[in-house]
Amino acid sequence: MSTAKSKLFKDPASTESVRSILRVVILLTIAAAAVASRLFSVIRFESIIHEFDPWFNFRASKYLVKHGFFDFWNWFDDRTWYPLGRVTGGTLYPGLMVTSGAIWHALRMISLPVDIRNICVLLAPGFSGLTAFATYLFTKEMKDSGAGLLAAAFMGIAPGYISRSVAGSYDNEAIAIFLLMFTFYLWIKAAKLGSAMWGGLCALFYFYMVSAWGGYVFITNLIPLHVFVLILMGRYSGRIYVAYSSWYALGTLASMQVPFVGFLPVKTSEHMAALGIFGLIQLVAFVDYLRGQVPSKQFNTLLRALVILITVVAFTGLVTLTVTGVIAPWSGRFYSLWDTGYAKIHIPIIASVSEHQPTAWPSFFFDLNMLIWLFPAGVYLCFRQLRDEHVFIIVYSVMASYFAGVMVRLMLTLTPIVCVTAAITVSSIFDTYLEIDSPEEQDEDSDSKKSKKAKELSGGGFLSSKAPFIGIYSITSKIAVIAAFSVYLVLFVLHCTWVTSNAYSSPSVVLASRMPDGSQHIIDDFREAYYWLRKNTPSDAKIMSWWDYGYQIGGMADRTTLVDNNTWNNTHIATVGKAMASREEVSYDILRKHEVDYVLVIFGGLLGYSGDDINKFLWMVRIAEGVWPAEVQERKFFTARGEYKVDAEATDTMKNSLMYKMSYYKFASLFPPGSAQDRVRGAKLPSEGPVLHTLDEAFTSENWIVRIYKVKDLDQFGRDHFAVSAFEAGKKKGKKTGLAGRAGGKKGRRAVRI
Amino acid sequence: MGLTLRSVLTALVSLVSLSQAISLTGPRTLLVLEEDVKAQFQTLISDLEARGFTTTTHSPKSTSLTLFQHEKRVYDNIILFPTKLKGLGPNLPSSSFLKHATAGGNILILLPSSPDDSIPSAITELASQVDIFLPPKGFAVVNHFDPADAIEPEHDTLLVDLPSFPSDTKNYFNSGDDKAAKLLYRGAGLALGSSPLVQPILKAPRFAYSYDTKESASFADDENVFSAGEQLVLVAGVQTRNSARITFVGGADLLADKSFTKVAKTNQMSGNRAFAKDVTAWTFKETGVLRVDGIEHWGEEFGKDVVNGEVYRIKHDVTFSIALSEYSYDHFEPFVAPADDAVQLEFTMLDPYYRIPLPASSSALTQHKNSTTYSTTFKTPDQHGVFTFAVNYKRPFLSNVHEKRAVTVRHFAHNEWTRSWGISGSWPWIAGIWVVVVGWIGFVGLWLWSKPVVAEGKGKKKQ
Repeated sequence: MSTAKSKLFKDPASTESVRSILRVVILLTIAAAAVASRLFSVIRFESIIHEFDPWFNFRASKYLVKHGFFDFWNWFDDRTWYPLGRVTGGTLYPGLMVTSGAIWHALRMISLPVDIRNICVLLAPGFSGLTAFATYLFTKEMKDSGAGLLAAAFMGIAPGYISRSVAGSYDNEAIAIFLLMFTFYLWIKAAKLGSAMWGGLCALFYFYMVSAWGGYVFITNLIPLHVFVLILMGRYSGRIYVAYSSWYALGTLASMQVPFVGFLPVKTSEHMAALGIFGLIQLVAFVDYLRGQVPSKQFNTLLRALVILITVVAFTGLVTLTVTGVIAPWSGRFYSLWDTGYAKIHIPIIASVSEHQPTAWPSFFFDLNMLIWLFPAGVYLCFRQLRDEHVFIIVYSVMASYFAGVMVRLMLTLTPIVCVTAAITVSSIFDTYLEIDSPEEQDEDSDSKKSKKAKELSGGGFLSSKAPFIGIYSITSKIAVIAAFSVYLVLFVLHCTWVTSNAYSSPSVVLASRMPDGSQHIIDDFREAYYWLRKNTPSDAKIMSWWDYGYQIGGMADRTTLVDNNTWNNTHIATVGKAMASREEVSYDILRKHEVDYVLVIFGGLLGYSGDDINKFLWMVRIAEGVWPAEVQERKFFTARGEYKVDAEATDTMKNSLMYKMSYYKFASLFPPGSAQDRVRGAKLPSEGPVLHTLDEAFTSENWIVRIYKVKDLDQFGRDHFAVSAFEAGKKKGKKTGLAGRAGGKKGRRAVRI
Repeated sequence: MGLTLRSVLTALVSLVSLSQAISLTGPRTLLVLEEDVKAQFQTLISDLEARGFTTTTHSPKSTSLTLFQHEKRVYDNIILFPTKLKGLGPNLPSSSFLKHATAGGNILILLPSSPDDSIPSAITELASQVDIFLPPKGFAVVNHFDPADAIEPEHDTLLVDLPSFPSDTKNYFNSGDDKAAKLLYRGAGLALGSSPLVQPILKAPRFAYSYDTKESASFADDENVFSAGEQLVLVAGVQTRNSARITFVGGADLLADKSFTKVAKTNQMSGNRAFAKDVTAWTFKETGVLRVDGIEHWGEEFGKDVVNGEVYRIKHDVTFSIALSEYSYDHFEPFVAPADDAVQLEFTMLDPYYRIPLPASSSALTQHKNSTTYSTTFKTPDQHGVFTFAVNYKRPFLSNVHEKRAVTVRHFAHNEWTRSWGISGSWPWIAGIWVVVVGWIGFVGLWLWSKPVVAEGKGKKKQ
């Protein structure tokens, strides 16, 4: 809209200062709106860290603030992955924690002691303002500052980005999207100017990005792809050479300084494209130089052949190295990007994460609303101009669209480019329709207008871009189009606010529901249970739970966990899965071996909370089956008709599994006889619930969402726990007073003690 | 640890309350018997009282008898004498004995010697819970090859040697002066299951067997024999996981006054009285109780300044030492492991990475009076994680020592690796880097300084 305003002034040069002030004001307003719209959760609930991963980041930040950077670097965490421990300092992306740690120190330096929790909670909204600014800069390079402001506004409130950056969502993505956009901006700048300084700056922010998010691989592949496409289009130039070489050399060396990344940039397939393009561009540069020196046509052909030959040889070498194992092959997560069914078959642990599922199409509209249909138009507009930087947008759009379709969480990388292209579209429409003056009917006039543009486009482009510029004659159509788009924009804002408020502002640690009278009812079972653990168990107690809750237990209950959301050890997770899926006899040995004191399960059957452990149970079974196919079999958890049942028809394997027993232990006693009902699965439960022998119920939260069991100690008298329960229940075990010690009555085989 | 602390505390409390008391569990002893039976065990009871036990006598049927008050043990030790009654009273169900032992109390159970007496069902249940099998009414052990009294036709009083054990097991049951003394035994015997918590104290002679005196008075075949030879146990001791002790004596006469006489065959005094002392002393924790006086571990990294630290590093030397003492009637003395046995240390993460013997050593940091220090030094494995120093010393008749100390073994910190120039293999590469750096600077210098001769430089380049 600012574009529209700026067009009102007849002489752009005279109003430059006014417009720059306006730009600053508008950008600040956008940043304020971006921050404000992310504060729903703080206002509704409280200043609390959300979900799962943020709890680890929060804990790590606290550690950083408390122990300093060097201890953080060498942090060996003995309270997770018991008893393996985790070399946390070397297996995380430290960018996020270091950022908030730096902010914490900076604020203290100016005598503003702020609790680290509040910094962590508000980091994501704060950075979303910066993201809007980076998007502005990026789009400005593509079109003009008007489009930039629109893109910034879109970026500030697009739900696709808000979903990962509301207050409390203290995850790597919180700062990574800003870094992504800013790195791309610097890259465009470097490629445009052919400046080693901008290339170096780009490498610097690339390093920051590498230190913050595993998604840096997206940049690592997108920039080389951009360069590759440019070379293929015959647009190789010295600017590209300088920009790419300085970015790659500096960026790669810098990225290798992050402990978690280490030598990956020279050893794994994900990074080989960047290395290959680096080699290719040296060749191309060399050939280009020689061509300048040697005018012979035949020699040129020879050179071209040489380039192709070397490329082929290099590629073959790469394949050979990969096959022989010098270069690590693509990781499982990447295979699942090409084949969405891959993970489900080979690595259930990746498939079990809901974020890694393919995207359902309505979520594109849900997360991007009108931007999604402006997106192709924007890409088309880029084709019309097709300068080097527009090629980047096109490449980015294609890649991001694909990845967003494959994995839900990659919607996040699609959102920025959608905002940018949509802004270009809207801005173009406003450019065209907000012109108050109707064009003169003479052809010369429009031609002269066109010629101005044509000069800008002399860099290349499609034929369509050279078509004569017409302009809009009718005021009515102008008003109609402008009005329609104004309505769209207003609707977009309404939609974004609604989505943010309703879908993305729940901390998931605290649940909210409505009472019959409409008042809000807070369900706080998780914190209740974690607080119970914190207050009632010894500080070195080991808690076993499914890995989803590992970070929360570590963060909120401050207790040692066996597995957590950093799923680096599949076997250890499978061990927990096996303990959950097996009979008590088998599980008890596993629990003893791992010195587990308490077992925690999430059960939603009473309240209808569908994200509970019984619903996740099949993943536990699958992951355990992957490691112990002989002992745990998924098939046995389904009824003969192939149904996953928890009621009376459930299979014996299901009913005897530890998870089932822990979930439904004493559940039937809540209801009148015969009417026990699981509200999540809509199943009627048998009136006689499961019996636990090796565990004692220790705690059940108010709404039964969290249930904690204590693992019994070994029996004092060397009996197994089943014999103990039998004895305590008064059933005299069949140890006859007759000729005891014999297997079968009087004539049986005598038991011999050695 | 809890165990040690508790035993030490108990010892302290009992020392304060009754200077005479000597059992580590405590002196309060309950005798469950009827008055007429008491006369047969006068010596046993007076011997106990002489050693500092305070006895309370209750009839099994007594209604005022209670083992627990306010969920606390009322008695430290219980002796169940044989009774003519069919069952014990309502206050003595089998579960009350289990509860008593769970709370750390000891129980000595004397089974009737006469085949005519029955065993109360509470005792049978208790026995079955601790993996001991009792014969039904009417069984008796005989040894036709070595009867105590050749005149006695049934041969059901037998002569038994004092117990002997393999050389890796300490023998607490032959403390009498006469090591060759014989024991007089009359009773039905026991059979043991395979639980490691129950250990035979006294086994029957090789040719003895236990048979049904009623059904097969003239001969015994396999169906009527309860058990025989070494599988037939006369006295068995159970030590629960919390080191409470339950002893079953297959025939009460073993400890009765009438056995504390001369053996007719050898004309020597029987060993019964001394054996009775040994059995009661072991059961009531006067012997065979180990105490951990101290555990120390320190690493090469910080030296002896940091003892019992929580963090070690991979591939570094660590020294571990544990001081053990053993209780003997009224004092602690250094514990000396049997010659063929060793106290072992495990360094465990899920599975033991090390299981090494702990030799007795004098190099420990802190020397404890009256205890032996076992110590060893080893190198932490090349694996980081939470490791446990575990001393799991569970031997027959010795109270359980299961000490665990969890420590973190961390990885190398980023500045603890050998620096690049410290690795000789890296020198060519480092040299290469510096050649390039110097060469490049030299080239730039050359380039800048050669600027005035533009024509020449460009001419060269154009080649």
